[in-house]
Amino acid sequence: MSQERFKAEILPIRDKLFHIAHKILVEEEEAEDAVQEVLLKLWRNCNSFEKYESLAAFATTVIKNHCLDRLKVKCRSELLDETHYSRAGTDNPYLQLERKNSEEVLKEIIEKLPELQKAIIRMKDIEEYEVEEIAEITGTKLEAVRMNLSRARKKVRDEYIKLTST
Amino acid sequence: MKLQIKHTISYSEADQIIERYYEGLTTVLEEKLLREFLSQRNLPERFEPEKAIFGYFANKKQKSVFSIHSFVRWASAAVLIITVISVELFSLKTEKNYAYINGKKITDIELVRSFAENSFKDISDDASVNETYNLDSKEIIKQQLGAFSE
Amino acid sequence: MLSVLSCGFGLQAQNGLKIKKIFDDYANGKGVVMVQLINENMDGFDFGLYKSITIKNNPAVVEQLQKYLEEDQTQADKVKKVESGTGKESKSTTFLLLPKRNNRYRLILYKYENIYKSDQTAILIYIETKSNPDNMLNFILKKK
Repeated sequence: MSQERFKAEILPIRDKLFHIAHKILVEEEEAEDAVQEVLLKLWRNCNSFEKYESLAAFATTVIKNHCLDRLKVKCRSELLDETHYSRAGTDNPYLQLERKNSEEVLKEIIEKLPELQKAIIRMKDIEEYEVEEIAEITGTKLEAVRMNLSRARKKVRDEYIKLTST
Repeated sequence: MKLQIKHTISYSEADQIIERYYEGLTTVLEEKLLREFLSQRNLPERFEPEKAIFGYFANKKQKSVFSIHSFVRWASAAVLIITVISVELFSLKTEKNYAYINGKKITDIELVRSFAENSFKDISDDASVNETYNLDSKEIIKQQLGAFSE
Repeated sequence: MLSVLSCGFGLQAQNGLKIKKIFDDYANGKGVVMVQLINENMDGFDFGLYKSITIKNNPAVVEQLQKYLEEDQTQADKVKKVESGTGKESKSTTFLLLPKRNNRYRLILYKYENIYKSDQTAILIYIETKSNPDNMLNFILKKK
């Protein structure tokens, strides 16, 4: 499926997807992130099938499931008051062990990024999509993608420095 | 084909591109120049994080396309292949949830569950939504449900 | 080597069921949608094993499928069939409850629909569940 075709099928219902996400997640920004995550996920997984029934209808099922999953994770982490990078610290054995292996460190850092940031980094830095393409697929403004990309890259850098410094 | 770049960018040029990189403003070409720059040896320490980050991404890219230019690359590619295959085997062993759509395999759990939900919708129809089914007796029922409404 | 691993995998209590072959042989065919879930829970229902396959416009495979289904039907504890339609368009749905195995209920759902001048669609579902089978059946059929 071409990007054009994907856009034509999905973008008309983008508002509906947001509406569903908003109902479940309540916070607008979270709902928006969820919609983008789902669109990127659909693009990455479904762009090579010719026609699977209605991609648009399927998307509404996916956004619902995605948001419910997000909600579960959110509730769990609020209960545990978990911060993603709480393991950093100079007395951390993980640090000592991993000091040499920068690739392992980076892999973990990226794995722990918020989902949308992780997806955008993957599409830009690994799969070499242009920012414009990502904006098209997610139906967002160029600036929004750049901002998420910038946040993600800075986070990776900051965490890397933190985890590899003495 | 690998593009031969005659001269590489200067340290200050690199600094500028790196700053734009973190703002999400670099073009694919700028990133390529930066990548070439960072693959040099004996760079000042300040470039270490970027060297590691770009190196990591370059490695990930190599998983799908690997080029054979030297013996060293052969060796690392071989290691890479073995690693990828063993990861594949491992994930085959642990993959319980999947969907095949027109021959393409999907393993993302959210998508697979959504495909399953879709199949429920496919097997039910307008008539069944309003009925309650039970399998209480060994019965075969033939019903004329009339013309299709669709 | 890879295929050996995928074959040996997770299809235990389907032993002795002919429809297993349909899932195995046609899962990655053209125009086919096939789904497998293992040990999932949806809306409180236990999907110990869930397999579905949707096949469009492939009368040969559908014929095969229906033969296998008839054979498996002889093992069933309970059978329910609903048929409708005239010659040009037809729809039939079959539900089978098979004997329990490994402490799980086993259900087969099958629907075949032939729409005039359009698609012929067959969808086959196999479920192993600890949940009450009637409730499970109704859950699936009423999912909107």
